[in-house]
Amino acid sequence: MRAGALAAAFAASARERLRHPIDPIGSGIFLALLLFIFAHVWSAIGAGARTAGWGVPQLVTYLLVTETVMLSTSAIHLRIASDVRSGQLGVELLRPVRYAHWELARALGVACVRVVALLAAGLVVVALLVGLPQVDARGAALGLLVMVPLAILVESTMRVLIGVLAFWFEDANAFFWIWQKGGLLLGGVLMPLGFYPDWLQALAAWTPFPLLYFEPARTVVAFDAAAAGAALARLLLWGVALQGLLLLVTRRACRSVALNGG
Amino acid sequence: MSAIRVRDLRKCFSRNRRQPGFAAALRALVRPDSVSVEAVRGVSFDVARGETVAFIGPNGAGKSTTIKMLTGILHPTSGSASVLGFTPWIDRERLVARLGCVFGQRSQLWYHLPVSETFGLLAKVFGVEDAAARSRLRELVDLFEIGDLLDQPVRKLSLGQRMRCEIAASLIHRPEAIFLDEPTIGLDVVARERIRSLLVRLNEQERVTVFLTSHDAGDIEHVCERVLLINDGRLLLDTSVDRLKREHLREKLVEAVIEEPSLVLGLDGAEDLPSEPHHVAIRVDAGRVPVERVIAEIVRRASVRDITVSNPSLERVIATLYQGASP
Amino acid sequence: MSTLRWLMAAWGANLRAALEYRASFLVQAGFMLLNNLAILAFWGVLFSRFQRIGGWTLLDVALAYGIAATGFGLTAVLFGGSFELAGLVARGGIDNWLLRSRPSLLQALVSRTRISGFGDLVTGPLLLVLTRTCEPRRIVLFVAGSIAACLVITSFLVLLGCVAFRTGQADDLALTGLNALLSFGFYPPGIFGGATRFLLYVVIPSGLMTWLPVSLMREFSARDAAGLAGGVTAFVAAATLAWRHGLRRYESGNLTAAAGE
Repeated sequence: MRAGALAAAFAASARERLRHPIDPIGSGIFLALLLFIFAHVWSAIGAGARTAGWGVPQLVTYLLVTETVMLSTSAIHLRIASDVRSGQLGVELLRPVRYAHWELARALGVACVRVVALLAAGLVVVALLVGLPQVDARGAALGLLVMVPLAILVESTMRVLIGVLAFWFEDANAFFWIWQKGGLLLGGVLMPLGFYPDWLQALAAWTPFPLLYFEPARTVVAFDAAAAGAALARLLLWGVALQGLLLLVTRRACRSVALNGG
Repeated sequence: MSAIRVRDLRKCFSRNRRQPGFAAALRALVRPDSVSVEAVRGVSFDVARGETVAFIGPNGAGKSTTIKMLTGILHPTSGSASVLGFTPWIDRERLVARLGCVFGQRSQLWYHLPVSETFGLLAKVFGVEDAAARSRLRELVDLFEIGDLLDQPVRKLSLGQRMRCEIAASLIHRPEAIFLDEPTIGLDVVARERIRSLLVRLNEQERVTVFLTSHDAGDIEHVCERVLLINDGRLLLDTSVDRLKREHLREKLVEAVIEEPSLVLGLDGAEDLPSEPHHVAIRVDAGRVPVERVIAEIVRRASVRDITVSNPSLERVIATLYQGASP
Repeated sequence: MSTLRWLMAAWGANLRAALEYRASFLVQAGFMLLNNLAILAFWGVLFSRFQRIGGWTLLDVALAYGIAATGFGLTAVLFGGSFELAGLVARGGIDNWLLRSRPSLLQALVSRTRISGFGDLVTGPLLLVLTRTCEPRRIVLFVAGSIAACLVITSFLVLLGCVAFRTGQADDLALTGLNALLSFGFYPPGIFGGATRFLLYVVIPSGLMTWLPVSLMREFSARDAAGLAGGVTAFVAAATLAWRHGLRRYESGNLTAAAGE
């Protein structure tokens, strides 16, 4: 019954997103812009990029994949923060499904539509700008169908968690900002981690960010079975750990609401 | 000398008709389906300097549209108008420097600033020199009794307090006329009374022409000498308030809830209206029978659980007037 | 009373209103500063790997960033209303402005201040220090470039805002356009083809905002200076005309905002 309810939330959310096509267009334009600019940046660097073993089409497609992960999750932490502050969280105790799971299902419904739209449009843009790269089909499948969705799940979990933290902290935004900037810099969103100086690469390895952006993108455009396998395993571990943390935190918040009235 | 002269003012809006559905939205992009709406249909009147005029009418009658044309915010489709000697839509900037405007539903004050600062800022906007602004502020504080509000941020004021400040603020530059659009809307009875007496005092002390639009019959009675009634874009009535009171506002509605299933009064000048069981509704012509008499009669003949006396709604006044206007 | 005195009073009032929320002020400005530095860090990494991109070095990028940030900061602080023009109009702001005897566009622009802009204002001088730019001549060019950038950004936002309130759209168009304007401005012109570069001077004026000023700081040329002045003037003029046109339509009641009896 619970799975059914979650599936319903997921589907309803996706359907609603489909009915308002204007929203993704904003992120679509932003993505197209970024691809356009970076296609030029990498082409201008030209020979320098080649030495790192990456061709221009690969680099631009890489950017497409990382940005897709980044753009497909919306600012749900804000809505959740306001739910938390208004005491809406307490309603969970009346439902058979956990609030955290419910919100996650909704977020994924939205993300699902956006991912498809962004990837489809993005691939067209990349093809027109610099041409699509030659990729290993296994890598593309693993990356796009498994790792990207997993990365989005982890990203969404984190955002819901940040939203719930608003229960104890006045401003959820500070955490979100740190998470987002961390992701941007240490996740290798704009360029592959191999381009970073060694000390920065070492630092990034300690964080989950490369698993969300660098690894899925690399799996798609520069497939390496061993590395991909290891990354997938670690991504799964992080996913499970964050899920647990989210449930714990949400349960405490709910109990507080139930005891104190929010 | 006239403050406002309006001749055959007309305003048509072009409204896009929106059909539901995606296909219709696409069609509308290529060929918009528009309909012409006449909001004001040839209105003419004069207002002399120093007069206090009420411009009344129900929602959608054309009040706000007319005022917007008189302040230059909207250009008419046809017709002419002159306010303080200026044509509003041509000489707006020069007119506005001599006009005070208060829109009940929209604030002219700066939300986050203390009242005194918002006054200071408005003074600078209108180019009033500092010394003059300061002495003017003192005058206004006395007149409007807002001394204890000066240090409070606008957002902390109650509606009644805010309205007093709004009206005061509109007078910083010593305008010759003041336009008020629904100044008492949303206010409680006490606050309403206060605003009304302030406007009367303002008019008496500074000879400021007052032109106010309202929904509220009480505003007409207590502030204005003259009333203009507009409905459906047309001026139906231009008369003095005294005449209006004598001829149209003598009606009262008495409603009661009683133990008995029904009651028929049969009093002369008191019309029994159809109503539900245990309810009584009597329309009283106060010129022919005093309301107290009707109430006493009801109480005498039935066990009353609740009783209310109300004025006729403006809609009803207009309906009566409209009937009276047609032959 | 002169327009300048009124503007100073308006800006003072905005600043005081912003300072009232002291904690929020510091946090927002602080975050914007950190945000800017984080993005520059990325650039630092890119350039540590590739010394020259499209003819620019890290120094040029830093200067471009500084000029854009300062210009943006000036817009946010002085002309904060430009970010929400369509929204302000839709909420009936125009009536208030028309009832006062000052230019309505200016009233709209100075009607609010974006606190985060202070963080951007600090970024510019900070970058000057970090890039060790100390010759007075270059500092003057930096300041002039920032003022020009402010005018370009504000005019661009006004133009987008006018389109937005005509089509009844929300301010999303303005923000998307702003995003594009700023994004292009941080990257060296050399990486783009001729046609693109032309569009980036005339349509989305990133070239006017950063490329010309940086070029002037690298090597001053009267031609470039004239080009910058001309371009800025053209955009300001276009913005003023667009606003007047929109106002005329509003006064004739052709915008939904004018209705509502």
